[in-house]
Amino acid sequence: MSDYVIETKQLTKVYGDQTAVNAVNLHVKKGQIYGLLGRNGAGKTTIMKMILGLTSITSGEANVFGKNIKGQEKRVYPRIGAIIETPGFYPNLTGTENLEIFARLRGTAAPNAVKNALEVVGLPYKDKKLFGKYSLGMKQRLGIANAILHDPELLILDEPTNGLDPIGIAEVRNFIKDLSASRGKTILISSHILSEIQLLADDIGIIDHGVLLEESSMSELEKKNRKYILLQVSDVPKAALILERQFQQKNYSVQDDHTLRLYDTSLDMGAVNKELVVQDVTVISSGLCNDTLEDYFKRITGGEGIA
Amino acid sequence: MVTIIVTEIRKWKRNKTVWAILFLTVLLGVFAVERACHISRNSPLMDSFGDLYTLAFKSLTSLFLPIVLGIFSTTLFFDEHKNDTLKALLIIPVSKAQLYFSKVTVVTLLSAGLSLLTFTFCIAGGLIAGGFPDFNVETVMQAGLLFIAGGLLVPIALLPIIFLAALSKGYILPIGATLLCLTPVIIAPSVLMGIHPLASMLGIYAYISDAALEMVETWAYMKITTVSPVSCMLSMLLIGAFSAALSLVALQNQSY
Repeated sequence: MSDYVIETKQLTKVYGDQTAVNAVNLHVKKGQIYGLLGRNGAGKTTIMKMILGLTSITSGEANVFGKNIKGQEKRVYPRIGAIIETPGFYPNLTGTENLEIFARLRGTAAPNAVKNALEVVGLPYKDKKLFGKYSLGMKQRLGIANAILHDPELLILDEPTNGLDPIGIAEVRNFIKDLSASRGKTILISSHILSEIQLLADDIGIIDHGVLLEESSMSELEKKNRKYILLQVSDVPKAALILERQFQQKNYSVQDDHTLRLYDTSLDMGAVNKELVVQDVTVISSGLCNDTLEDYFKRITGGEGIA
Repeated sequence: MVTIIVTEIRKWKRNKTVWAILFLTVLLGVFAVERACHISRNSPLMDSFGDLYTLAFKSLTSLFLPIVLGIFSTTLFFDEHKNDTLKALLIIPVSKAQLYFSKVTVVTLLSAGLSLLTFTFCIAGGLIAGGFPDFNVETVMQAGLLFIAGGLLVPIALLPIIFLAALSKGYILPIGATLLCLTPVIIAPSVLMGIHPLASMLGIYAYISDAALEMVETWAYMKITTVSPVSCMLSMLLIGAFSAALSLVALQNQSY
């Protein structure tokens, strides 16, 4: 029996001659929040769809609760709550009516399940407003309410804060954290917003062009992030010349007209500062810094593209 | 399955398409009553209750019901795509077969409901207009049987259209196909009996009552002597079963 709630092995999806997901090995531990981070179109949704059996797998396998979903739908699906892409509901019905339909189909036994789920996401019960008139934020909330309606063990949330305002994002974030911390839910969440994943996830998977570039715990990732000395000076070319000639430093990068990053943190900064001042370069500031997750993301994906 | 059908019906609350269909059916019923009231009993067009109910039945099943049910079934399937609800249903899980059969059941229930509504208007017409010498329990029962047959047979005849509705992710193909499918039945129904499901229905109606036989013979411009209702029924069921199987295969192969 696997220790993972979700485990994929060499999961691959090919559309025509385009590989959307390439040999992804994902490991989501019980009770943890796993953040799948990647640009738009990186393959996050396709992975989630394959895990849920909504789209066929070209090769490899995806196991949920140690089982392949195919053929086990009736046993596995009741243990999962999910939002994939936009939350789908009937526009001519109210939020409550929509949830009542899904509760009835699921055979949700709890009498107040709909009311409780709406309360959790901050939507009114028995409101007259039709889903078609909902704002994007309200739609997302209703989607989350539907995902938790039957109190599932596993939540698969594809960009759940899409369209929410900053307060809404914070509320949903706190709520997701609470679901994991106090109710022990396992959560797989995808996002292209780095800060969101950074604040939420225990484990992180970084995906780019269908390839899982990195998978580790958030704490390990923070340790891995490079340390560097951030040096702000009046004249970067001159400072660079001094560093190369006087201190034999070549492992540095120029950030802008006044900023340098030195990656050799063993360097005696007292001596560096003194030499720069002597050679008429004003030192505005110098200090030890850590790569942010954003830096790390850019480094391993080789570019921009996340918020 | 019952739960799925019940929720399928609940999804149609406040739906304008359903209300429009009901409104048009009521108009059709009112038209039948109006004809009964305003055409003299001396006219061969309305000298019996058979004339009244076959007039209403023909108006309902020749064009109205196939077009309306074609549009309705297309919306039933397509709206699940349009509203992005299909994914949510599949991970409940509602199987694609359950989804298909629940929607076909809803189409059948609507068809039967509209047929019975029109039948009720026919009885109302018979009572309000009066003067029908054959307005008795026997003819009312024959009329009821004809309307029930129509209500149940039209959805079976439309299963190929429902296949297109399940297959396509748009309105145009199935609705266009409905109209295309109806055209040869309007032009040459007699030739297509036993082949085309919508034409085969006529071969079955003809054996329900004398008034229905007369209606079909006028409709098809032929004497119904050589057409077997059994072969018409078998042909419809075979085509329907084949279409249902194709629909299930099409749904299974769809990605979401």
